[in-house]
Amino acid sequence: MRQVKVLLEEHEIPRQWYNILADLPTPMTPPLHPGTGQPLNADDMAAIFPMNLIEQEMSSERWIDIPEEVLEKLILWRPSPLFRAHNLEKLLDAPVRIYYKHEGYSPAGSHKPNTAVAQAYYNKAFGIKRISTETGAGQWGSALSMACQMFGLECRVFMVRVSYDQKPYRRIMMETWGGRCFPSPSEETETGRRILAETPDSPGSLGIAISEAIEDVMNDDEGRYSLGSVLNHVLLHQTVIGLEAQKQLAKINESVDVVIGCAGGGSNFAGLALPFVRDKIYGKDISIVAAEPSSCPTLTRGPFAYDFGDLAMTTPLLAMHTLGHDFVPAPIHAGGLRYHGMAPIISHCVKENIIEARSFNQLETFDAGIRWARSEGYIPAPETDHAIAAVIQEALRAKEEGREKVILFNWSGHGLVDLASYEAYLTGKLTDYDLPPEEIDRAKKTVSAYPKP
Amino acid sequence: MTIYDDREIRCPKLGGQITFNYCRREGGDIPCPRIIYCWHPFLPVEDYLRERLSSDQWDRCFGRQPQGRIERIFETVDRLKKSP
Repeated sequence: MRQVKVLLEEHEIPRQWYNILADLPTPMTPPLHPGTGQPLNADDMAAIFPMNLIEQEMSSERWIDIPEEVLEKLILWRPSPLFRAHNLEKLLDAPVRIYYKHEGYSPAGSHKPNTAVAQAYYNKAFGIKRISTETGAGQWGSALSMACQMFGLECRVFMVRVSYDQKPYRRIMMETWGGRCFPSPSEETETGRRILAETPDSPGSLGIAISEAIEDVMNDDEGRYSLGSVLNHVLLHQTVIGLEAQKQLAKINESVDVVIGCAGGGSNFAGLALPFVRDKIYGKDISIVAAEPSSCPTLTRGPFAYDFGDLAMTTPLLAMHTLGHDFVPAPIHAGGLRYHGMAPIISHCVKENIIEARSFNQLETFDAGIRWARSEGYIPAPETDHAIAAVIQEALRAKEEGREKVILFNWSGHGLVDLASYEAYLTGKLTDYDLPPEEIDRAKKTVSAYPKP
Repeated sequence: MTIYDDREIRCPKLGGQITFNYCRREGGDIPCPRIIYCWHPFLPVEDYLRERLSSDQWDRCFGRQPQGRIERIFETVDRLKKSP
């Protein structure tokens, strides 16, 4: 019987987090305070974060001990299994071995608790009694509610109202764990009350929810704010994923060629990838790929030609329906081209060409998620589908090149509380429209010099 | 309501399905700055917005780079520190 899972014993869980800041070949530009234009300092952060987490945020120590109290909670679901995706390999019929870290085993169903638990512990150790945060669709709010309950902290979650109304099960998860979830804008803050006075039916936004969560703890010595992604200390906590994967791969004498993760704010991607980024920095030949959402139209509507598979023109020419590898919306919208919630560490590594970013549109990603669910069984979170789309792309490239490849990716969470997204896809609600003729003409011009299949 | 209002898309900021109606109201009287980038494969969103937004609204929405999460957080902290 072939092996499917590589497991670590509880005592084999990593005892330290890995801090990439110790090994970056060029220093990262620190985030700037929007008011002063100067790098954020500890005093700036002390208004909303406890000093022990600020120290981690600013640290350049390579290894940071994971407190026993945090490990005791993590081993409820960690070490997470490393799976071999035999069924997907067979479906793709490509010369690849595909491994994935299954982060859907946590009680909240995703990688988020890896940092939620750590943050709850550090806040408790600092003497904090309550934590506030914002959440969109509820993954982060759920994880933090769970973690706060573990350490006896009050948790207050401001959930964007449109998501609050759409996702009652996420709210119920938070409440089951003892968290309090408020639809934002809410009556709990001056910010919320003002917006509701102006627009009683406001559907809310992430910006409003952030403002409410911060206002909720400002000027309260016993309250602090928490964030589920983007910040250095959050990515640090997530490196337990990649460190476990390295131990598991060593157990089966396997060496990976490509490491893939989906990247929204960057925390799950960083968690898997950063320990391997270190290997790459020190000379290992390995590709590190961040799969992002994009809105490039489905390729099947462009002229059929050979084109590069990526914006960087690094792939062999692939025969496909193409709009030109450089298809982007008009420059006026370039400001929205990349989601500006990406972690600075990841952005820096992309800029330094240590990490490659690839974009996948939602039809591609849902198609990948469905193919995954129908071969491997587990239903991925829609975010995870971006990573799977990249895995499939990489596997098909290996097939095209006739070259064996070992792929590792982060299965960042399950989609069992997000099935409405799959319903939208399966009922055809997520369809492209016909491109205007001028866009098709532009695409034809771009690829006119390329060979035709 | 407009003809596109019930079309759905997955929002990369919220992590869930939302309608076009939400996207065009996300900023209060202006849309989410990502609206054209997110929706252009699905409907003629730029034309739609140019017909409906004033030049001031257009500039406020698309005239500058959207704020990153960290910038937004510390701008909020500053604003709250200064308010009475």
